[in-house]
Amino acid sequence: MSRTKNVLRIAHVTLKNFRAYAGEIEFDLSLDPSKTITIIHGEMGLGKTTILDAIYWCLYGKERSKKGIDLMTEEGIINTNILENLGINSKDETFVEILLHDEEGIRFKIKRGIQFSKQSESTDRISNKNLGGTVPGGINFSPYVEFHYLHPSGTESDWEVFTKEEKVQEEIEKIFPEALSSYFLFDAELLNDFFLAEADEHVKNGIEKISGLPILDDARDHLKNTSRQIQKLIANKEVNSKPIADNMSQIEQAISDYKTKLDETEKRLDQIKSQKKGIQDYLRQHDDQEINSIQKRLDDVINTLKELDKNKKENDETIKQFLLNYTYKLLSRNSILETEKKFQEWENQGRIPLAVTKIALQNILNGHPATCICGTIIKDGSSERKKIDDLMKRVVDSTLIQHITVGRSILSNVISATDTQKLSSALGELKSKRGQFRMAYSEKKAIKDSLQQKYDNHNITEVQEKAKMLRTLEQEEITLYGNRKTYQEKIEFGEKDLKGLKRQLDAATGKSNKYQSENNKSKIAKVLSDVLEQCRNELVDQLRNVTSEKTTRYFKKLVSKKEDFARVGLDKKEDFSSDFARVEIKPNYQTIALDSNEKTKSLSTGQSCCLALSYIAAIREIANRNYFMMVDSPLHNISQEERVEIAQNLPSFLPGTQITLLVQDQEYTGHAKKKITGQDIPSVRDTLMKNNSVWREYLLEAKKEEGNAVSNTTIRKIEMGKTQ
Amino acid sequence: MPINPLIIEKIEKLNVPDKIKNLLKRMLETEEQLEIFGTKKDYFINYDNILDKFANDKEIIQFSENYE
Amino acid sequence: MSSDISKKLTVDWPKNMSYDISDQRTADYVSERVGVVTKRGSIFYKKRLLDVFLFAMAKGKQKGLRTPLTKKSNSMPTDALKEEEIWLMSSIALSEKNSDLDILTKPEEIIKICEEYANTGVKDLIAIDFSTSISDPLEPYEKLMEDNLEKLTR
Repeated sequence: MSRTKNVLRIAHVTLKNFRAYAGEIEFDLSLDPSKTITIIHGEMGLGKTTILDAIYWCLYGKERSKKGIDLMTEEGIINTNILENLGINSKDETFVEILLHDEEGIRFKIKRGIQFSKQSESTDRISNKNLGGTVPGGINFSPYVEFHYLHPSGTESDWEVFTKEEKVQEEIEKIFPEALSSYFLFDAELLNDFFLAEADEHVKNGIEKISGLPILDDARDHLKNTSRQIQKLIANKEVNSKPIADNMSQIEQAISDYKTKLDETEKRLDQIKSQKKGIQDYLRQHDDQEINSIQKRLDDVINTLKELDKNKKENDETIKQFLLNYTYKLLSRNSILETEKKFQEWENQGRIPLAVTKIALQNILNGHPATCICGTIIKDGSSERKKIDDLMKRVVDSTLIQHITVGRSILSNVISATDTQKLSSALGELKSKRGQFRMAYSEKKAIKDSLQQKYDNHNITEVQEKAKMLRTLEQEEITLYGNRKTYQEKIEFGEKDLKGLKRQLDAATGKSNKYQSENNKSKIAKVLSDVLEQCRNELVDQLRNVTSEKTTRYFKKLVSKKEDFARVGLDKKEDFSSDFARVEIKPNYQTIALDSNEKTKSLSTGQSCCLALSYIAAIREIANRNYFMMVDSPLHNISQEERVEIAQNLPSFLPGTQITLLVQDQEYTGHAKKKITGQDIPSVRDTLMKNNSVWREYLLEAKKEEGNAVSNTTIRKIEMGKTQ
Repeated sequence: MPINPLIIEKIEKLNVPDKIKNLLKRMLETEEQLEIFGTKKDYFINYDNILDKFANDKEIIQFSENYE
Repeated sequence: MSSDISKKLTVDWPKNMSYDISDQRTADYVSERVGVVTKRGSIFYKKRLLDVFLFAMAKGKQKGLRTPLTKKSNSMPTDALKEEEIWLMSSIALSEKNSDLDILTKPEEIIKICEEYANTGVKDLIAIDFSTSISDPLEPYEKLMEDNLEKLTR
């Protein structure tokens, strides 16, 4: 009897000692087709996701794979406290039990557990993959699983039970194929993956797996192989044709290998294409902006350095001239002073006449009145007049005397010029300027060096490296194009050869009627295989389109546009079709939303969430399974307005489908205000209550028991209509 | 996993004799059974058995010869 | 008028002045071809041998030591001397203890005295040159000036 059902709902869940839940917790979920939503909410970290994990573990006997989490350091499946506090010779167990109903009242019960007992005290810690963590030593573990099935017409005593692991898995696989699990139990945060680079592969796998294409593919391949095998069998019987058959086998193998290589090549080429695009975008950006800026600053500072260098050199030259001119004069200063002293002595001795010329004396006497240099008026007949008259007689204008006079004057200038204070001051100033220039130069040089390094690093490390990477990728691309061509040619030739050999084989074996029947079988099998291939190709396109249509339908239901979810403002509900016309899943499985002008719309986080949910709903419909849906954190990362929108549309989104939402308190009960109008945006809870679509609410709470260092999570039913 | 109705629908719509359609459906059902019982590797025996029954069916043979 | 006087002043002067080139090191230092006046970075780069002479002479006089020449170079024409330089040389000679006024009429005496002082001083210049760093060639001369300024202000 086929156990596969169209509608399945979880009636009851019991967890014991599972992860953070010490002791037993249980809860019911809605079986009411009109009020399908059950909410389980609580603070972060209390164990909402654990509920999802528990159900998964119960069904498949393994943990859900999560990204970036080290399973070995997480709390294992068995509650750590319980394990740690187990006494010697004591025993306990961990289990998860799910009771499911379908529309006809057929019931399933699945229970998976681990019994454990402590044999001895041990400080060892043993890592156990099956238990998802490290456990204390000295404990025995016995896993078990049960699958119970009760037909509606049966009574309580008519439960069919299987306890053998393989049999249980078989039964579960019939009802809940693991391939479909992520469409019933999913972490909405993983929906984000949906829109990353891996999404296309995800969507492709989803569509093909869920649509059962693998069966079609297998049938097609098996028919083809059957055809060939029959041929081989015939050939083996016929001595002449055995070599041909062997040859054909070899060529078939070769073709298969080339096809694999071709596939890998195509995949790599796609990868390269996307990597190249990334690098090209980067190069475009960085080439233009940053380097230009650094370049300009570098040029400016180099010009400043040139200017400073010029000033520095000029100043150095000035200092040099100064030293050249004045040092030796300074050194000679004492000699000059000594000489002047001697001149004065000789003057006093009368060996040289006074430092005065006849002409100078004459000029004094010619004055009206005659005035001495010192200002005294020389009156006729005065003693001064007499002195001058005497001098006039004595002064001998010899060239030498003139020379001496001039010389003394020159020497006197040198003494003036080598005034120590003057020289000290002048030298000091020149040195100070030199110091300033040197410091300024040094500062600017440091700036220049730093900019230069930035420039070089920028060039070398980033831009040049990326350019180098780009060239490498391009070279690889060329090689791969060559390879691709080669593989395609080889496959083509191989298939031609095969055809030829087949004809030969047919000729060798087809002649006698001995193998007529076998030949027919082979032919029929081949034809059926070809028909299925044709079928498949058409189906893939069809399925993509069907998924696109259904996703569009769901999307339109779930997303209602008020301008744009991301913007705040208008209350007027606009027609959806003005913004989103349809969802398309392209041949490469990229999923996009288009407006009525066939332009791709970029989506807000909330809208992306809706699109992913819509896709999932579409897949479920195609898979023809209206099973329960349990979603963890569906409202994470989206704005309050978007949450409320989704909450409002959720009930009509999947009518009749049991929906269980595991939400964080803040997401569920949080209010917000509209940014501009300040109008209150209601909480998700209020919205759902208003729609009357929630069957029951549960609250997860942390309870600290006396004597326990760690708090324990419990679940409590909330009375509807009351606030907590 | 059971055969998706879409696939059945597609086969029904093919422009081939009913016998072929039924044969195809039968093959798919066989595949489904193999999956359930985990005996995919035994496909040949199963397929061979089915084909044995139609090896001499004139309509099917005719179709196969024309198809090629 | 003073330039005429200078010309007249030096008309009796010997044509050339000399360094003592008996010492190879000195000879190299004062060589017009390869000496200090050809060294870039030197304070005397592209200057006259006379400039070097006057510096050496002043240095030697400061030391108060005269070193007689043994081999004359005859490498510096006296008519290239400026008036100020003539009087500086004259004052070097006049300030000698035993010098009298009439030394002004004996130019060969003046020159001899100056040459001998320069002969002493040039050794100091060679030593300075040797110890000069390429990065700061003026440093010893700056020091020389600063030391002397300090001495004179005391």
